Amino acid sequence: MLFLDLWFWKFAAVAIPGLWLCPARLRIPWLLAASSVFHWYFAGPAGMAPIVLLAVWTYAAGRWRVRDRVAWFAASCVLLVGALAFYKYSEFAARSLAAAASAAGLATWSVSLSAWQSPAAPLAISFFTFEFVHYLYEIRTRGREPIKNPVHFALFAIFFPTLASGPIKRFPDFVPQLDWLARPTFAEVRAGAERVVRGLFKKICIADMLVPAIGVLESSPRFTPEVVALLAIAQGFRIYYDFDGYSDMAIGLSRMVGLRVPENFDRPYFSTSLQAFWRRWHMSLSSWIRDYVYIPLGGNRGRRHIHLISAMGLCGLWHGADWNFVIWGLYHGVGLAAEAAVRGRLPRFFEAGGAAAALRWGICYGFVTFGWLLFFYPMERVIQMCAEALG
Amino acid sequence: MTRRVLISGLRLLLHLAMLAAVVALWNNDAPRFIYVAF
Repeated sequence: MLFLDLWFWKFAAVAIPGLWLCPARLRIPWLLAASSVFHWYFAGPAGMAPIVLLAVWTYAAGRWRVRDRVAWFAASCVLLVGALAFYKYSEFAARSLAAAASAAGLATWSVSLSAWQSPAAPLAISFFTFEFVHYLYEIRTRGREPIKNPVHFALFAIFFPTLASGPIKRFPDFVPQLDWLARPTFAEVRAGAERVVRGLFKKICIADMLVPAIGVLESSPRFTPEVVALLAIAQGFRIYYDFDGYSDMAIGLSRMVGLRVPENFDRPYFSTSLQAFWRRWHMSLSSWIRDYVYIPLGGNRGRRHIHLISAMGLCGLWHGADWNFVIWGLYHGVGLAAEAAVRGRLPRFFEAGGAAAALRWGICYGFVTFGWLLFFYPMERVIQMCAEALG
Repeated sequence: MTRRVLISGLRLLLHLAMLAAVVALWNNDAPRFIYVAF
């Protein structure tokens, strides 16, 4: 996590108070310069170059081409998603194809495919891709005005608190704040600083504390039902406090420079349905998947279950280039589709409070918690754990 | 007014305590030994 690098805190100690001291007309250039330094330090020139090229393309396409010409919109999306696929997924795809070729007896193909190694992925390319695709989609399909000021666009792209792991910003909410970036008030700075401290506490004093416990459970000589349940619960809390802590830091740092970015978590483990869980877990990603994958696929119309499973499969793949992430996404997609079907037949069960709500919470929490095993471990390992626990 | 000052002071203390815990546990392997011993 970049925020745990000591360099970052030295950088923040200069960049944030520096912004408070800047005269109004220099605040945006100062923030852009600070964000560039941050990006340069953590990504290096090789990691920065592809992002700068994609940002220039996205800015130019959005400004002059995308609104009137569908071919430019399609080509831009192919370029953005293609870059993500090349850097992040090509090795995974080659490895999977090599395994399939080997199973089909095509040994030569298998050897050449498994030799493929993709170059190191530029820092946060998944986040850049999602923000840029959102930008072009909003201009093309919702008729939004593109960002005219290239400095504003650049800051939207590489704003340092959200650069590495989000929250995924929406430009109609973020960019208007840049038109008149006031010096943050003392109350805002204090609220932001408190949020940063809470984020650090969640990450270091809760999430990182669970890591050794998870290690002990993983190396358990026998996977009893209690060990498997504790492992899944511990993994669920670790990932939550890790990412929620990170999001708190990003949101708090943004607030300390006078900018608001989207929230990412809203007590997701209190959800009483999977649908509610996905409205409260990694909200900036789940709303992106809803708006730019699920709804364009057809949303609630037609084959809703297919749209849900496809969108969630893609959501899983976004988390990492391996089958366990895809399986985790599909598992949630199937869960959401099943829940939608049950909701259609038993609407009163989903509206009732009391014992029914407690039962819904138990089902939802159990489903989500078991899912963390699929997220963190390969399928064979999960099957082995469950077989041992049940056997 | 007094109540507001009190709440604000308590909030500050709570965040300072959290910050102290963060500093104490930054790159600290102690919890690992506690779990292993347990």
